[in-house]
Amino acid sequence: MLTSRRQNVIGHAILAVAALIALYPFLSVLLLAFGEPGTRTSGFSIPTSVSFDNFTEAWRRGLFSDALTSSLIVAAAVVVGTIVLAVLASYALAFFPFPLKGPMLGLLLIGLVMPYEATVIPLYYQLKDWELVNTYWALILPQIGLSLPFAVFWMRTFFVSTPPALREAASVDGASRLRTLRSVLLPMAMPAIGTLATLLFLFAWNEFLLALVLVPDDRSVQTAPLALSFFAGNRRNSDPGVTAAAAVLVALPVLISYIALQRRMISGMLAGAVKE
Amino acid sequence: MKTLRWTAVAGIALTGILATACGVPGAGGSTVASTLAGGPVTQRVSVEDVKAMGDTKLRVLADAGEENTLKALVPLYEKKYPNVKVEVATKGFDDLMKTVVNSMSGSDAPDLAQGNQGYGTDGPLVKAGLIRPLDDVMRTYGWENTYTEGALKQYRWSPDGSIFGSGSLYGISPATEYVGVFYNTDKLAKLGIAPPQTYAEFTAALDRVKAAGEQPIMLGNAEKYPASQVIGLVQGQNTPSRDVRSWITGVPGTTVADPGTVDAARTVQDWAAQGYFGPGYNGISSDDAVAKFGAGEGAFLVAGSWNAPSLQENMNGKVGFTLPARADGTRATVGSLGLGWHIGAKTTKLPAAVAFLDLLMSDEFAQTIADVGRTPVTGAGKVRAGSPVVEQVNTIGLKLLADDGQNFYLDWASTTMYDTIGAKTQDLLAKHTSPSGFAKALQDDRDAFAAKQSADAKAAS
Amino acid sequence: MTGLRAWSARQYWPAFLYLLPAAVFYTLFVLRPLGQTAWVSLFSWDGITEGRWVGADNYSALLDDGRIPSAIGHSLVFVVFYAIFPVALGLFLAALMSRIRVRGLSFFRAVLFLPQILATVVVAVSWRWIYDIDGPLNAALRAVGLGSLARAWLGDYATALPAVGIVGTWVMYGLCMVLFLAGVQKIPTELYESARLDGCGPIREFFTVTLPALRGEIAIALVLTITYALRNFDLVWNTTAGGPGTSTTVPSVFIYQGAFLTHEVGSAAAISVCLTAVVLVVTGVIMRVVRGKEG
Repeated sequence: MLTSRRQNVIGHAILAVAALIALYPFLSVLLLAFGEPGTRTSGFSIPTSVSFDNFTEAWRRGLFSDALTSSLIVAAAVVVGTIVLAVLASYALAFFPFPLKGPMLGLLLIGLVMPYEATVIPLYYQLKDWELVNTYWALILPQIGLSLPFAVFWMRTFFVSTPPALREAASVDGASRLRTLRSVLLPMAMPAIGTLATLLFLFAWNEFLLALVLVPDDRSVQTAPLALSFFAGNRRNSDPGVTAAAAVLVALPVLISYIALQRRMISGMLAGAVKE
Repeated sequence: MKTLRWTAVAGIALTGILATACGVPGAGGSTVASTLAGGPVTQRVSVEDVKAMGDTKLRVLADAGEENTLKALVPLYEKKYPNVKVEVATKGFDDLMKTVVNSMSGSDAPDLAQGNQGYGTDGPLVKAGLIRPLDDVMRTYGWENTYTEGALKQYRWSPDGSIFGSGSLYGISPATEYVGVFYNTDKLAKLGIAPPQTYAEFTAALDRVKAAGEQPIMLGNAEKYPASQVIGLVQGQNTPSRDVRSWITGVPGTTVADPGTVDAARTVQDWAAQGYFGPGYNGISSDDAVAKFGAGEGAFLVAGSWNAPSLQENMNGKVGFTLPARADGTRATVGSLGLGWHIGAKTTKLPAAVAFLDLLMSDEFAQTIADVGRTPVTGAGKVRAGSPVVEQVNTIGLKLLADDGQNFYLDWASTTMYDTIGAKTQDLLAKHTSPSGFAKALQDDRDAFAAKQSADAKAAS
Repeated sequence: MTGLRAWSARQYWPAFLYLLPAAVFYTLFVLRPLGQTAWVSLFSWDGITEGRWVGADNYSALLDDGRIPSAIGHSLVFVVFYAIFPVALGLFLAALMSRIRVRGLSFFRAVLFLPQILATVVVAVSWRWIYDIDGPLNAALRAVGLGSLARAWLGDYATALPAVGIVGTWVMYGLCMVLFLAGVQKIPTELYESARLDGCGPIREFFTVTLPALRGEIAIALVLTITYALRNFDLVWNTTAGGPGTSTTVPSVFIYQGAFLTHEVGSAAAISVCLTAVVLVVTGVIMRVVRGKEG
C-alpha cells in the first residue's frame, strides 16, 4: 500500500464519524425499546435498567412469531424467483441479437420508475378475481414482477462488463449458450448475485403497502412490517417503547442476515479478484 | 437516447392494448343489496336461535383501540353461545381505514366490522352495499331509548350512501368520546386558579397561567388534526350544535364560513401567536403531547376523553378534567359515539352477529367498558369509574349527550376534509392563512365534494 | 426494421425462450395493472362502486390544482437531498475505502448500509425523535451555545423540507456506497498502480481512474435514488404527512391519499401516469448525461 499513515488515520476517522451517524438513530430506537414500558427517554439519557417487557408485549400483541415466518417465506420466494428469471432474461438482453430489444428495455424502465401506489388498486382486483387475496401468492407474485426491472438491469450491467474473451473462448470450446451461462458467467457473477439477493431481500422484507392491501385480514399470512404498523399506526394511546421494540423485531432478522451475507460476499469478491 | 424514445412508443402501445381489454372499473363488483341479509329481525335473538346455527365461526374486524373491550367480551360471548367461535382481527386505526372497505367487499368478508363515521369510510361502505341497515335491530333492542336522535344521526345514511345524517341506521357503539380539557391540579393550585367550569373562566385561567410565565396549553400537532379539535372546542361555544352537525352531514345551504367558526379560528390563532401552545407544537405528536403533559408540562391539555386513564396513572391522580360550559350552562364540543359497529351485508350468521351486538350494548357489559377506561353510554347511569378524573369524564360525557352537544368531527364532511382541515389548521396557526381564509377553504372543499356527488348521481340516473 | 423480416428466423427463438418467464411475470403483475391504472385515470372512480367515464377531466383538473406546482417544487428539492448528496457521499466513501487498507471493512460496510435495511416506519420513528423539540439535535445545539437555533425541525415551515431531505440522504448514501464499492472491486489494481507511478494524487486518481470506471454504477445509483426521490411517499408521510401546512407535500402523497384515504382512485391514477412520464424523462436525461450514448 502506497498510502501514508496520516491518510490512514484521517480515513478511519471519517469512516468512524459516518458509521456513528448511520448508527445513532437505530441506537436511539434500541434504547427506547429496552426501557421500561411507558417511559420516555429525553436528550441523550441512557436508561439505568434494561427491561424486555416491551419486547414480550410487542411479540405477543403483534403476533410476531407468525409474522416473521410469513416474511421469511415471502422474501425468500421473491429473491429466488426474481434472480432465476432475471439471470435468464438479462443474459439474453446482454448478448443475444434479436428484434424489439429497445422496446423491451423501455418497458422495463417503466416498471423501474413508476410510482406503484395507484397500481395497487387494480392489482388488488386482479388478484381478487384469481382468488389469491389473503394468500402468500398475493405477495410473492407481484413482488417478483416489481423486482424484475431492477434485477434485470443489474445483471445486464454485470454481464456486459464481463470480458468478451471469456465468452468467445467458451463458444470456441463448443459450449452451448446455457452452458456458457452456467459454467462461465454464473461463477463470475456470484458476488453480483449475492449483492443483488441482499438488496432484493431487503426490499421484499420491508414492503408494506402491498402487504397491507393484498393480505387485508388474514393475520396468519401477514408480514412483519404489518405487525409493526399495528403499533405505529395506532392513533390512540400508543406506547413508544412497544413500537420501538416492534421496530427492532422487524429490523433484527434483516440485520443479522445482512451481516452474515456480507462476510460471504466479501470472500466471494476476493476470490474473484485473485482468479483474475 | 434510444431507450427513451422506445419507452414512449412502448408505453403508448401498451396503454392501448391493455386498456381496451378492461371495462368500466368496479362494474358488476357490488350492488346495493336489495334484500336485508338474514331477513328482518323482529324479536330478540335467543341462545336457542344461535344454537340452531350449529358450530360456527364469527369473524370480527376491529380497531386496535377495541382490543381490551373485545378481550373481555369474547369469552363472555363464547360462554353464553358455546357453539360460536369468535375470530377477532384488530388493526391500527390508520390501517383499518385503508383496508376495511376492501375487506368487507371480499368473498370471505368479516361478519362484523368497525368503520368510521362520515363520508370517508362509512359512506363508501353504505354506497357499495357492504353493510346491513340496522333499523330493525335498533327497534327490537330499543337503542333509540338509550341515545338521542341527534347522536344517532352519525350512523344514518340514505341507502345509496349519498346523504349522511338521515335515513337508515347502519352502525352502533356502546361508548362515547369527546374532546375536553385536562388540567394539572398541582399547577393550578400553585397559581391559585380554581378549575374552570365555564368558557369565560377557562380563558381567564389561560391568561393567568401565561402571566405567571407558564405554558397554558400543551399541544402536539404533528399529525395536523389535534389543533383542529381545539378550534372545534371553541366553535362549540360559538355555534349551535345543530348548525355544526348540519354542515358536517352536508345539508345543502349550510356554511362553515359563519361568524362563530371564523371567530373560533381567530381565537385559536391568537392563542398560538401569544405562545399559549408553547414552542414547536407542529413538531410534537399528539401522543408525545399527552406524555409531556403527564410529565408536568403545561397547565391544560385539550385532548380526547380517552386519554383519562393513562393520564391518571402517569400523573398519580394529580389531573382533573373539565368541559367549559356555555353561558346558558349547556355544553357542546367535538365528540361522537365510538367507531360504529357494522354487520356485513353478506353475513350468513345474522343471529350470532346480532347476539354479539346485543351483548356489547347490554347494560351488564357497561361496567366492563368503563373498567377498560372508556365511557359507556349504556349501563343506565349505574357505572362506577375507577378514578375521580375518569368519573368526571364519564359524568360530563353523559351530560353532553343529554345536552345534545356532540358536534361530531368536521373532517367527516367530505372524503378530503381530513387532509384539508389538517393543512389549513397548521397554516392558520402559523398565520399563513387568515381565520376567514381557513373557513373558506373548508367550505370550498365541501362544495367541491357536493359538486362531485351530484355529477356522480346525474351519471348514475 | 430489418429485424422484422427475420422475425420468424430460427436464430431468435433461444433469446425469446430466455426472456419468456420474466416477460410473463412482468406483463401479468406490472404491465397489466399499470395499463389498468392508465385506463382508470379516465374515470371518476371510488375504487368500489361502478366508475363514471370522465375522459381527460382528471388530467385537466390537475392543471387547475394549485397544490401540484408546489408539490413538484418540493420533489425537485428532494432530488438534491435523496440523489445528488447520497451519490456524492457514496463516491467519497467508496474512494476512501478503496484507497486505504480499512481495518474492520466489513463492520463499516455493514454499519453504513444499515439505514437502507430499516423499514421506513422505523426510520421515521427514530428521526422524529432526533428532530424533536427535546431531542438530541436540539440538546446538542444548546450544549454548544446555539440554543437560539433550537426548534421543532419537522414542524417549522422554514426547516421541514430540508429536515426530511436529510433523512433521505441518510437513507440512501449507504446504498450508493455499497454499489460503488462493488464497482471499485472490479477495477484492475494495475490501473491504480500505473496512476500512482504517474504521480497522481488521491484526487486526480479519483477523477482519472475511479470515476470513469464507475460510470455504470453511478447511472444505476442515480436512477435508483432519483426515482426514489420523485416517487417516494412513505418517508414524507411518516415524518410530516406533508406538513406543516403543505410545505412538504409531494405528488406521490396525493396518489397515496387518493388511492387509499379519499377514494378518488381515478384522480390518483392520473397523477400516477403523469409522475411516471416525468420520472421517465428525468431518468432518460440522467442516463444520457452520465453514460453518454450507450443504452
